[in-house]
Amino acid sequence: MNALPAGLQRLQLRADVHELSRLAAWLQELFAELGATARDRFRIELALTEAVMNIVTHASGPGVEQGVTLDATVTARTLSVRLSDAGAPFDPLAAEAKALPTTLADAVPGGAGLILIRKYSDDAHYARVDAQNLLTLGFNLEHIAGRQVGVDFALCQTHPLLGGLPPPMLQQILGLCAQRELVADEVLLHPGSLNLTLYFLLRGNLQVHMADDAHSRSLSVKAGEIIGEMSIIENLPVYARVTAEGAVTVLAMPAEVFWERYCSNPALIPPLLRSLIRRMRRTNLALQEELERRIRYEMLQRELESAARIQTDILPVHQPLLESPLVDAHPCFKPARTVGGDFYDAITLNRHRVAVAVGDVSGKGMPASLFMMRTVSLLRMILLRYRDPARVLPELNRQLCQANDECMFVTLAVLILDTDTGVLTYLNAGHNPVLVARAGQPFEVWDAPAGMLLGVNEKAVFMPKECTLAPNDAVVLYTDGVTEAENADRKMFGLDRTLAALAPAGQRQSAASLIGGLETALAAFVQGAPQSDDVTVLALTYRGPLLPDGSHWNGRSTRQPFAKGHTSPGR
Amino acid sequence: MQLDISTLEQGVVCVKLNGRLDVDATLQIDNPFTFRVATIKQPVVVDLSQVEFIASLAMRMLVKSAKALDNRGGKLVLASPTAQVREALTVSGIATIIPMADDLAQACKLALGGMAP
Repeated sequence: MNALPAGLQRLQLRADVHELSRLAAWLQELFAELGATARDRFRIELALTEAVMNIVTHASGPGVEQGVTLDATVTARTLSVRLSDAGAPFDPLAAEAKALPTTLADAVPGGAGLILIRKYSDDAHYARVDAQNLLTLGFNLEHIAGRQVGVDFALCQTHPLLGGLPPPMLQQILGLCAQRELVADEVLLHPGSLNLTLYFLLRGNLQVHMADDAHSRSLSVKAGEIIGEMSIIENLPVYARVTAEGAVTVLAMPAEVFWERYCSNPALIPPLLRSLIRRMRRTNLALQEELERRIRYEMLQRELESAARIQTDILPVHQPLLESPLVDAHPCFKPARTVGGDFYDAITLNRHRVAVAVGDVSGKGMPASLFMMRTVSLLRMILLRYRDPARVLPELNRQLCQANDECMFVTLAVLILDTDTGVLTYLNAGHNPVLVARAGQPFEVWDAPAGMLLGVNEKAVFMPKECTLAPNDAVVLYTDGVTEAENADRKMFGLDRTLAALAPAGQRQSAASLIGGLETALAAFVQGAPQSDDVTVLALTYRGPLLPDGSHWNGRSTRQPFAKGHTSPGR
Repeated sequence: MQLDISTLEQGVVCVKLNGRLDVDATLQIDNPFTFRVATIKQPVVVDLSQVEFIASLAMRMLVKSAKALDNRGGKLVLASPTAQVREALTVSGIATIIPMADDLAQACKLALGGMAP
């Protein structure tokens, strides 16, 4: 596609050096049409001048008389010019460039043309087609933000750094500048780009973004200020991204105009310096705040990570979970965030009594995590201290109600199993019901009064339930992260799917295979949809009062001693 | 294309070029420039601050004159090129063989300092 007016698409030059002035005139029109930057104008004119000069002065053969034809093609961001001539075959891109001289004595005048053609074009091709030399030079045009409009003299006079100029001088300087209008969010300056323009902000606000991430704050530049001065003064690439906050009007002053015309007025220098220093102070302050914010954020991040480590460290992960070979317990623990509010526990109380628990602390993040750790510690202490299961929840509740200004609460299900008798005591404080599979039957909900939440009411009453398990009966504790797990259609996994996934495949199902079956079914259901809540499950299988060989357990742990990262058993 | 000649401190000759050093302009000033620069013995500073464009033909003119002056024991220094002219002089290798200064005072120093005693 060619967006150029027909009159600008082609230029034909005779083979005469004086024709170069026609090239310059044609290019001026072309640049005006493209709104090319000063730098682009310079390099495009230089590359094309050298290419035409090369043809005009060096071409030989009968076709020379026809001169050279230039065909220009333009896209939004590129200009491509094809030069064709009928001279003897010559590829300026393949011609060996003379090595650059290192001393004046070695220097031979001339010969820089070929180097300049190559260095100043972004893309160059040569072909010999139909007895013609075809040299195509491509240029990526520098982005110029905004739409160019006529310079508004009165508006420019309102800018404090322009209004101080005597009007005739201002008029003269404005003649060398461009006024541009940007729409909201349009980028004026890209970090890393070369900037040769000073922008006077005439209307609207600009945002200077120090870093390119969403958390980073930006600095506002208001009408009456300037932007781009840093890169011009230092002659370094732009360091920040500058965008328009809403509709913005700027006056774009080329760096040369700034240095040579603007700065030659001594009266303008003090206000300019004042403006620069004010901006510098604000930038420093913003950078400092940004840095402090980042440091705080990173510290918090590290604390969260260590909290998550402490949290997982407090939960038992050794295998088997319980020392007694008469029971088999296995957990599944998947926090939704780094620090979650779900927990499980498995405690050997004495040679024939074990306890397992699953709980869910209200809320998420750090406070929930701390309350969870407090709950786990207290529960262990109370279970070990009180033989009477009926005292466990009231005592835990009383302690959690104390110093609970945050009004956090926890739901909890605890199972205490006597492995000699199979008597199972079930304690529930507002938690999901326990699932139980007895005598080879499928899992079902063990209906029991749920009891009150812990940590809310000191006088809450809890009703322990009891039943007797037969060998190979199994129980499962879970949090609502399981039943409320959602798939992409926002459908919940639900209790029925949970029960179905736990349906025993054979008689002696291990706790690990029960958990594995549930995990597989859950993963197949959610299909990778993001997990919104912690998922915690604990399965417990009762093997019976005797070991497989019919003997009694002597109380010695079957746990591997010195399992990596954990304390040795028996302590 | 204008050619303004003045004398700076200690007899340094300043040749100020104004406008575009394109092919046409260079063809016009090549002879007068070379004549003025290459026939004197004083050090020469070429003020490029008002030069908006430079083609290789003009670079050739500068090298030719600098060489001629060098052969006679003189010295030519380029002064105050604009960013784009400086880049073009660097790309083409001229900046490594002809001394270049950011302003006239520095250029004068370079021009004088390089003189044979």
